[in-house]
Amino acid sequence: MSRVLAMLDESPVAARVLTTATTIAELIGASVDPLTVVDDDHAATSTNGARLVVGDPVDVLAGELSADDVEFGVLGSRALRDTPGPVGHVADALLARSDVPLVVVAPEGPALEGDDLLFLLPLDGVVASTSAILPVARQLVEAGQRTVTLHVFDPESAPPLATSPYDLDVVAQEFLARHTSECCDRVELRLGEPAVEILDVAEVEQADAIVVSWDGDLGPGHAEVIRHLLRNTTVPVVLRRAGASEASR
Amino acid sequence: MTTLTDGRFGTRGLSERSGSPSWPSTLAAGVYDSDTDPSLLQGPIWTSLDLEPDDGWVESIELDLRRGAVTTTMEHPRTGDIVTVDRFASIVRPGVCALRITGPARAVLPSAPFVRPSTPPGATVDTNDAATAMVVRGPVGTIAGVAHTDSVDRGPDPTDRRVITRIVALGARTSTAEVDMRGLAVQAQGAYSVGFDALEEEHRRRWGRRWQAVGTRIEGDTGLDVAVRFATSALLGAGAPERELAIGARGLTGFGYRGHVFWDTDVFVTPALCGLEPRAARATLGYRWARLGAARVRASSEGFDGARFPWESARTGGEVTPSEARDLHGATIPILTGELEEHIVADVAWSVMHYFRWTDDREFMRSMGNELLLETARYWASRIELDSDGSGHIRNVIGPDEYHEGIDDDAFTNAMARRNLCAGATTCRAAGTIDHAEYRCWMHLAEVLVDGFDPDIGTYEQFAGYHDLEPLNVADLGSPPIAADAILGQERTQRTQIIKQPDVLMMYLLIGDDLVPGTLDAALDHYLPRTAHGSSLSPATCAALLARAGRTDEAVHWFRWAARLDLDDLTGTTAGGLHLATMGGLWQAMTWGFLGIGEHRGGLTIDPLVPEPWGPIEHRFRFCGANVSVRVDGDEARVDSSKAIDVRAADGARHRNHHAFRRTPQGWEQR
Repeated sequence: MSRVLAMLDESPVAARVLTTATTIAELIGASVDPLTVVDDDHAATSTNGARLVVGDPVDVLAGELSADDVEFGVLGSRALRDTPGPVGHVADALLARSDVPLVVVAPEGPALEGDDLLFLLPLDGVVASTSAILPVARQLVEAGQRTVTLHVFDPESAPPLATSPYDLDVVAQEFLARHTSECCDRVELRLGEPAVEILDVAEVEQADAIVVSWDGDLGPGHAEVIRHLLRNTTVPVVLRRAGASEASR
Repeated sequence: MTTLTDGRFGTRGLSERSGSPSWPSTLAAGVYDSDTDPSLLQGPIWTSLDLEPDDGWVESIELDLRRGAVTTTMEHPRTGDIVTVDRFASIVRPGVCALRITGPARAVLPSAPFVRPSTPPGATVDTNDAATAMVVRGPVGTIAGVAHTDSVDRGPDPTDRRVITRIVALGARTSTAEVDMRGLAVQAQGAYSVGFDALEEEHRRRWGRRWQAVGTRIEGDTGLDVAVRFATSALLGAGAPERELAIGARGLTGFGYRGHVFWDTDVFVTPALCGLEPRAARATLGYRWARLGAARVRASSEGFDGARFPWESARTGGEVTPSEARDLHGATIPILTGELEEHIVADVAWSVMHYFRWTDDREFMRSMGNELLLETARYWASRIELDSDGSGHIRNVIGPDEYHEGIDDDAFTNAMARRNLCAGATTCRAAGTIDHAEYRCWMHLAEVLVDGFDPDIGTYEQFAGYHDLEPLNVADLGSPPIAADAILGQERTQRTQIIKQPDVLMMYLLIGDDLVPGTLDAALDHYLPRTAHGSSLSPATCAALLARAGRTDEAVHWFRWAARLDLDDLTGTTAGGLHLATMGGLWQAMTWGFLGIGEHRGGLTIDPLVPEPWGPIEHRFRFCGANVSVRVDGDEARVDSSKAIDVRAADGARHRNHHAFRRTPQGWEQR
């Protein structure tokens, strides 16, 4: 049986991480594997009944995530709006290294809970991004969950003549056919700043989670959309690195 | 782009393989899935095939314009197997389509001839026991197919060649009435007994005859030459000599615009069909005539006389424009075109007159044309408001420039209504369908209806108050074509002078003779910088006018843009079908624009202004029952016709039997 790794610490978000991991595990027919990593023997007191491992949290968790039977990892974001990074330093390092999808639970947001969930799939139309998200979307749809694709145009990339509702219908259908027809039956089109529009659509659609792909680098000048999402959304964000090998799982 | 259509049925889909994402489908002209929110009904999909393995094939697709056929070649990199699929929709036997699959037996699997399409609520799909017939019954229309299939293996080995031939007869009804399945079966059997090769041969010959009669050759620019032929082919495919023919904005090549019929047909497609397939042009007007009843009801319900045609039309002729939609900012916006874009009424009348002048079809005028002119003119006569100073106005409309809504005295709408009134008055008086009082009333209204001519700018103000708007040019936003409304937002766009597409310029294209002479240059100078080309109708229109103004470099730029619109998917919407009106616009730009061909008192006028980089041009078309060929080579021009017609060059003299001309400093003169 495959595992969903729930990466727990002593922060308030840990309980919601565990709930989210449990929800995902139930959806995909996996088991939950709660794990706490501490880097000091003296602090090695288990919490929440989680497996306790002593070691460098990044190295240990990265190793656990690379196991063949791990399907998802779930962790909490410790960063708040006024902290320097979009997530804590452990999460930051794991996001850059993990080949499996990682679910980041916001410090102030709800857990992923329930069996009738809506997942928002923002896609930029680039094949690598779509390829990264599709396996996740497929799993969710097979689990009976709802998905909505979102594509955000900027003024330069918007089809110049496609502003009539009928034309937008065509663009939407074609986008769906080319990218997510097998696991999504609806696409929303927007024009503007991707990060802003993603949050807006997530709110309008009352999405329970956002599934995005990214290049794995949260450093300055990179992944602005991801940084904005992690900082500003309250719903869990499922991140999968573009180029992450399906076979590596 | 590889849709095969005979004007009655369209078979689209890039790939015949099962599971292809390219929306394979079968559509029928005028067959919709509903009367309240109609889209084209999807009929039985007859082109699918099953291959082994079921994925990984590398495809190349060839559309042969000469013979109206598509060949798909698929090669599998792992097995090395090659499969070819040839298909065509016979233009000799309406509704008959044929498919032949050739490949190794291990790769080409037996498959059912029909695949169920996706259907709307309330539709049913029935298949006979042998799976050789399928009927899709929608709430208000039916499409059915009967197939004959055979499969021949050339040897016992799995690598030996297998040939599967499928001959299909399609039938449709624009009502819930049953398709005559027995008749279809007979038709399919008859075609099958002829055989694929013989069917293809007769089909190819008929296409050959078409291309002999009509078409355009631009020497020296192969890419443009092929693009224009592609457009001509699509227009020919859209037409059929039926009693009535509903040609939607994308014809039968896709679901874009849900198959609704717009002014695109009356103003862009029908005129091209007049020159390519006049019987099909008549059928498009037959579609309007058959819906006069609904148009009368609408006019009456709004307190007017005559007939008001809907902005978007489908089966019944009632208005089917949606009332709202969501924009790219997620906001729900009202769609007002169905309520306010009234120029469609005059567009239909213009199309009637254009058809008559181009074909001299007097029987059409007696049976349909006069009535269309009568009812449309009556509409305008009741619609025009007279002010206390005696001037006439049409208020609260949307013109072709849909960026500006609820405007008064749109120049295009008013000028077209004026033309409608005059044509109606003259024609209907001659036919004895109006009395002298009504004639005088219409002519008076035509005279007092304001048209916005502004001597200060030397052309027409697009609508009352347009000059007072923010004088923004498109260059301030970017390089056209651009969607100005998406960049600025709808409200801001309405406050600027930026226009979506030609409005005043559209008048010059359609009814230039009615306008103040010598003002085209001023109109182009004034409105082109303000035109976003935010409609696929815009580039070809501008190309035609720029050509007439002698600005051939700019004309070629927009002509080329229009010609590549679908081939290069410049709008990102070609997946929804071909932009037929753009293709009609190309025909107009070549005919009226570059070659200066027009109708005048039963004859032709010619005044070529051919771009220097182009080599000789040959343009063949139909005119008043004749096959006409115009060839322009540098300073020489020659007109040949299959029967005697008057041809007048720019020198003004009429030439009945000598149709060779030479350019002189004064213009074109008879040689």
